Amino acid sequence: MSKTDRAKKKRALSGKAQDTISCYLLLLLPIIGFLLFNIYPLLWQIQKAFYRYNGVPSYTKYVGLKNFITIFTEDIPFWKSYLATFQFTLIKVPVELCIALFIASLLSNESIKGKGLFRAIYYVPVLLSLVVVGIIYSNFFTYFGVANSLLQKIGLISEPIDFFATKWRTMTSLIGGHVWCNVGTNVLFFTAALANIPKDCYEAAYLDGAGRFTTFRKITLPLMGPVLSTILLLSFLGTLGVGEYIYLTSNGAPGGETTTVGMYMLNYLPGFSTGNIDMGYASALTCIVSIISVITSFSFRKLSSWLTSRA
Amino acid sequence: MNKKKILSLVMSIVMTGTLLASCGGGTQNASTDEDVTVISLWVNNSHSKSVMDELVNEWNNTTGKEKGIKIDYVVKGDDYTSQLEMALNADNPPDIFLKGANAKNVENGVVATLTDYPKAVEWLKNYEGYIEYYSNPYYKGEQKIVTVPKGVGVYGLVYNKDMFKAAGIVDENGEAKPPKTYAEMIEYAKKLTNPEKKEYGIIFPVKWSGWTTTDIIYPALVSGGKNSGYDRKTGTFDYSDIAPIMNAILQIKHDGSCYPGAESLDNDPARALFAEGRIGMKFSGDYDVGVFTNQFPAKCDWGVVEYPSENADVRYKNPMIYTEGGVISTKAIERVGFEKVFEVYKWFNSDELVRELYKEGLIIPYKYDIYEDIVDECKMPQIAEFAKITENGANVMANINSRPEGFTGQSIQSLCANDFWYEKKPIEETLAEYSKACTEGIATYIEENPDYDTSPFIDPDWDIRLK
Repeated sequence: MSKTDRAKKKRALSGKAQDTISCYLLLLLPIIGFLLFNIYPLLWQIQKAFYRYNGVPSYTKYVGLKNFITIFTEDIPFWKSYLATFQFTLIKVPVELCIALFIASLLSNESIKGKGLFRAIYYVPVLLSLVVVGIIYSNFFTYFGVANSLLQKIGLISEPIDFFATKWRTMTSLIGGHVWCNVGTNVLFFTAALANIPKDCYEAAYLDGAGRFTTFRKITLPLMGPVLSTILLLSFLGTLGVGEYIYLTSNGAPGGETTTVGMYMLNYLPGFSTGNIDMGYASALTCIVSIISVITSFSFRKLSSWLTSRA
Repeated sequence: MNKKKILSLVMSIVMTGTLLASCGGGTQNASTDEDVTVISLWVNNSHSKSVMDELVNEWNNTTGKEKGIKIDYVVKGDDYTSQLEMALNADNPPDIFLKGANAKNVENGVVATLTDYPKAVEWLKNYEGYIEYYSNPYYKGEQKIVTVPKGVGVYGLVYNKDMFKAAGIVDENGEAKPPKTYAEMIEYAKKLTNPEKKEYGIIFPVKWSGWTTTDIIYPALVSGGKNSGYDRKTGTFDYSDIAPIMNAILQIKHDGSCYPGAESLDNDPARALFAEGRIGMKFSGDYDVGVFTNQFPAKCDWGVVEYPSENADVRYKNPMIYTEGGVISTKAIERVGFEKVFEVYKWFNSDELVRELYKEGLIIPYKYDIYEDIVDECKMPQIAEFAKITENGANVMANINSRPEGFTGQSIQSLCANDFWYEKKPIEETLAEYSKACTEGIATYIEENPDYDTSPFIDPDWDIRLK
């Protein structure tokens, strides 16, 4: 190798090293942020799960696995709240995705004018804070609220309905509000996914005499499969974590039957607790919730791959 | 290295530096120059700002000038707690501040123990009988006093006089006659209800987390003398006094005499409805006077009375909760010495100041004697009515700790709001079980915490029954 080649190679290597260094330097800020705001709180929370802790040094005490044992042996309300969470999720996610897919399909139709405006309108609720949505829906469904007034005006009911008096009425109201504020995101996802389906597939199907439903079933759904699976997973996990929205809308009514896990954990935090404040116990609850979410997510992906391979 | 890379590198360093730098910092306080020592005083009550600003200015220009002290009065808004937390975490607390009298700050040595200073010990004699051992949050551990009571939160029943008069519920002088017993409350609620006019006898904001405290636990205290079931005399729990008021509330619910849809009602909508003049009665606190004056100005003539009780002849003292007069930070004492900070602290908690604030309707002083002679001079008549309740009031004491087995994740609040309101569990039986579990739970708690001193929570001479 000549001297010039070696010099060139050295320059190239040195350029590569510089690139690497500058890349790492650029990554430095997000990495620090990730360690500081994600990893550190996570480790802190895992450590506190083995303590009784409310911020007061003399109260803080290492309790080993006691918090976890209590969760599994005594904390029936926690598991009831898990059941309510799954019920809420299993109803809300399919409803939301069906509505989002329907709207996205309509918006993908080229003959519709002002699609951009419609997309924006559907997306506006997503920009609202869940706290605001909770307050809006809480007032919307009160006894003399807008919902009852509308239903009475159109003659569907003669007397106002107490929307929060039974579990399933409350659940319906809650699902309505949550779908309203989340459907916009999924409309966007579905619109993007639908835009990626080659048009010639549809043209070929129409030539073969396929109707709208058949085209949707045989072309749209299979080609959207991977995207649909991701959207489903994200919606599912996002809904499992819902807490503050329920707290503000129904506060668990009736009788705590719509209390979700996210809301239940607030019971142990300062400012929310009506009993003992114990952030150690709340941390242990969070660990359990995280593990269940990971298992759910993993099972979902496995099931999804299995279904895809069979298809 | 080309310019882009250099720029990227510089930006990364600057941003990282900024991020790390922002983790530090804090508040400016306790600055001193040759003549004047500035003492920072942080509060969260913005409603009294204009009046306090004037009083602070006056003090700065008179006493403060003489003593070489200037108060920097800082009103932090809704985010007071987080701003204070940040200042404390940055080890740069204000010199005097509200909401700092808690075990965490005491144990971490953030706030000064007043009893460590002879001058303060002398001054604290003014508070004899008003600072009870373990009466949250004035004491902690070895009789450490870190703050003093300044004002008091009072609770009772507010009622719409116009509706009472219209329904004929009046006394011999034709004045509205509020209920004295649960039976009267049920009867009046029925009389006041007219669904066609959307008028209801009483309103229960069941969704509000404070509902069980103001509407169930406190009336039960007035009827039975036990705060949230704890019998200070015997050191045991007995929630049986909850049953009569809970049954009365359920009776009103069955009669249809309360505002419908209580399950979805928070306190603010309930207050707004009362202010509209369509609700006959509401359990309330003195904090609602400001709400019915400024936030939702009441469109009716309304008054305040003590809680009704189960039996008119058997009544216990009305519940009150002392509000604290702030704490002094240890840092402030290190910087400027105890004398100067204490001078401001004394003024901030002086009888003269609280009397001025009472006249404006901004506080109900902790001691009736302080303002007895001017009780009717308050600009807000309903504050005066609440204030009169304190004459027969007792501070709501902290209860002994307990770990009731079989009730994990539940409390008396959740039992009332989730189980009793919806009639999912029998009231008397469940309360008996819960009382037993709580009493036994005291031993469990002591077992877990062998150092826990129960003696401040047991007082064989405890007697708050009104004679």
